Amino acid sequence: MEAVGAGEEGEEPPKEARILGSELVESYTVYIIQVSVGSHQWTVKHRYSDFHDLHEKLVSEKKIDKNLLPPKKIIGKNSKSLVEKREKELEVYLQTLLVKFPVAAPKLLSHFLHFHLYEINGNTAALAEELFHRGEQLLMAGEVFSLRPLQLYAITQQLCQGKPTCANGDAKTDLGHILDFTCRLKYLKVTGTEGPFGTSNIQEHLLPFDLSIFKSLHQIEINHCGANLIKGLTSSKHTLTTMSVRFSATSMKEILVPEASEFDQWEPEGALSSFPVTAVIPTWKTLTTLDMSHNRISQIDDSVKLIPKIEFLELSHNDVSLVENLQHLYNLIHLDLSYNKLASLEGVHTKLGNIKTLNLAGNLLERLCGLNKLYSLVNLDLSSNKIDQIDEIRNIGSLPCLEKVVLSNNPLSIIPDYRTKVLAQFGDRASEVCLDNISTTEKELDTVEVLKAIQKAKEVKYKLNNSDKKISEDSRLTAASSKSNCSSLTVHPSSSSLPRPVSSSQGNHK
Amino acid sequence: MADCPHTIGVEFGTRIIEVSGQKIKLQIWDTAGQERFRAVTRSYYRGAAGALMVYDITRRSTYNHLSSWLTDARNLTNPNTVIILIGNKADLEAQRDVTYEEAKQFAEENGLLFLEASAKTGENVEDAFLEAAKKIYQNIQDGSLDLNAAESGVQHKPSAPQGGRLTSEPQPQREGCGC
Repeated sequence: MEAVGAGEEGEEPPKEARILGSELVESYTVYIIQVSVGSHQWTVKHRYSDFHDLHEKLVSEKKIDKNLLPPKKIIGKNSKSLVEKREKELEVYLQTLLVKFPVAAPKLLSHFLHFHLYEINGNTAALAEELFHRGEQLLMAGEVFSLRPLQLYAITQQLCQGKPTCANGDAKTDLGHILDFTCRLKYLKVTGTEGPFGTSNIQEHLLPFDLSIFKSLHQIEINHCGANLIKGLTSSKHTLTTMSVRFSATSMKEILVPEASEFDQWEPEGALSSFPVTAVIPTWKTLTTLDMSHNRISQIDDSVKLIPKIEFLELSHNDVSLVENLQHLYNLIHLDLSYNKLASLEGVHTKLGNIKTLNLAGNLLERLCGLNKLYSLVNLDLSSNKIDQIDEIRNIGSLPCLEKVVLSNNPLSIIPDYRTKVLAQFGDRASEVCLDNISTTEKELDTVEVLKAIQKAKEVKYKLNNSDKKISEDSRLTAASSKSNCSSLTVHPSSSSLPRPVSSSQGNHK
Repeated sequence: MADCPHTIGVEFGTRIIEVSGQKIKLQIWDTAGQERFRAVTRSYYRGAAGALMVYDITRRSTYNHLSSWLTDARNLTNPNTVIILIGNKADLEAQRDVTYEEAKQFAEENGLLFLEASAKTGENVEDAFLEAAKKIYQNIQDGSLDLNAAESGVQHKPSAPQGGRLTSEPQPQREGCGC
C-alpha cells in the first residue's frame, strides 16, 4: 500500500497558482491567475466575488477554514493598494488549497482553476462525468463524438501511470465511464488546435495518445495532431470504414503501418513473398475511404498495399510528385491528387485501373500523355495546371466515358475560342462532354462541327500527300507509339484519327 | 489478441447480465499479469466490487503465484470485494498440471468462489461473471456492501434507458484470460 501511495505522489507533477496581476473591467477588478502543472501552464481570470463564492462552497463541502480567504471590502475596493495586497493574499489562498488537495482537486476548485480543461485528473473527471450522464444517449444517437488531443492524452496518461480510476472519490467521475463509452463509440473526431490550446501553453500536436481504448470505430477524423505520436489506431483496423487524417502526417506509412518503425521488412498478410520478411501485417479489411489531404506527404508509399479495399482516396494539398504504388488498389474509383507537385503522368494508366473520378487540379502538369488510356474515366479536373497546347487535349479526346472536364485556369484557357477548340478534340462525343462546368451551347456545337470538318479535311489532304511514301512506315510508327507511354500525337497527326474508333469500340465492350 | 498494444497494461470491456430481474452492467478491467505492470495493476483494485483471478490449469507456475496476487487483492480492496478463482484451459484435460480438488481446497481456505473454465470453448466463462455478479448483488441485498460508500465499486443508475441497472466496476481480472 505504501509503495502505491509513494509512486503516485512521485509521479504527480507539482501544481502552482500565481497571481500575475489584475485588470479593471468595467467597474470591477479581475485577477489574472497563472496556473501551472508540470510543464503545462494556463491563465484564468476571476474577480474577488468568484473567489468568495468558491470559498463559501468549499467551506461547506470540504470543511475549509473559514478565515482562509482575505475578507471582503466595501469601500475603495478598486484602490491600487488594496488590489496589490489582495493579489498576494489570493495567491497564498490558492496555494494553500492546492497543497490541501495534492492529487485530485475537488470539482469546485478544479473548475475554478480550469483543471477540467487543462489538467489530466480534472480533464478526465469532467469527461467521465459527462459520459456517465450522457454516454448511453450519445451512443444511441449514433452521432460523431469529438474529443481533443489533450483529453486523449489525459486518458492515456491515467492508464499508463496506473492512476486510481477515481481519484477525487466521486464515483461519477470514474475513468471506467470513459472506457465503457470509448469501447462502443463508432464515430470519432479528434481535432487539435494549430497553436497553443486556449489560454495555455499546451501544443496539442505534440501530445502523444493511445487510441486502443476504442474497439468499435467505423469512422475516425483526426486533425492537427502529431501522427507519429498517435498509438493504437490499428486496434480499429477491423472496424474502420472511413478514416481521415489531416494537418497531422508526414507520410502515409506512419498512419497505415506504424509497425514499419519496428520492422524493416514487412508484407501484408496473404502476400506471397519471395524475400525474407520479419513481419506480416494484417490489412485494413474494411477501410474504403481514406482522406489524408492537407498533410506533408511527399510520396504514395507502399503502405497502400495494406488498404486493398480503398475506393475513395483523397491526397490533395500534399507534396506528391509521382503517381506510384496505386496499382495495389484494385477498387479505387475516386482519386484526388489536387494541389500536389505532379509534373508528369507518364504510365499513369498502369497504376490506375478502374478510376472514374480523377482530380489533378493545382499541379504542375504541362502535358497530358498518360491519360489517354484511362478508359473508365468519367470526371477529370485539370484546372490550375500549366497546360498551354490545345493539342494536349487529344490525349483525353478519345476517352469513351468522359463526361466532365475542367481545364480552367491553365495557360490554354485564354486562347481565343478556347472552348470550341477544346471541344472539337472530343470528336463525335463533343456534345456529351461538359467543359468547365458550363453546358455547351448550340452555337458552340455548330462551331465545333465546322472545326471538326476543317480538321478532317486537313488530315485527308495530309494523308493523301504522304500516303505513297509513308504508309508502311506510318503504321509501324503508330504501333510503336501506342506501346510507348507518351505517344507524340503532334508529330503524327495522321495517326490521331486511328485511336478514336479503336477506343470507342472498347467503350462499347464495357 | 496478438496486436494488443502493451503500453497501457490494461484492457477494458463491458458486459450486461441479468441477476434476479435486475440488469447489471459489469465493467471489466483486464489487467496484465506481467510483473512490470504490477504497480499499474494495483491501482485498479481500488473501487472494485469483485475480482476474477485466473490461472492456467496446465501451468503450475501460474497457480503458485496465486497467493501473492491474493495478498495484493486483499490488501487493496475492501473486505467485501468478491474474489472468484478461475482455472482456465479446462479443455486441455490431458495437460492438466493442477487438480480440481487442490484448487478447490485453496479457494475454500481463502474464502474464494471457484470454477474451472475454458476461454477457448467458452465453457463456464459466462458463469464465472454471473457467479461474481450474483454474489455482489447478494452482498448488496443483505447490506454487507454499502452502495453509498465511495469505494464500493457499485453504482445505482435508476434513469438508465433499460430501466434499473447496477454498474459494478471496476473488476480487475487476472493474468490475461483470453475471454
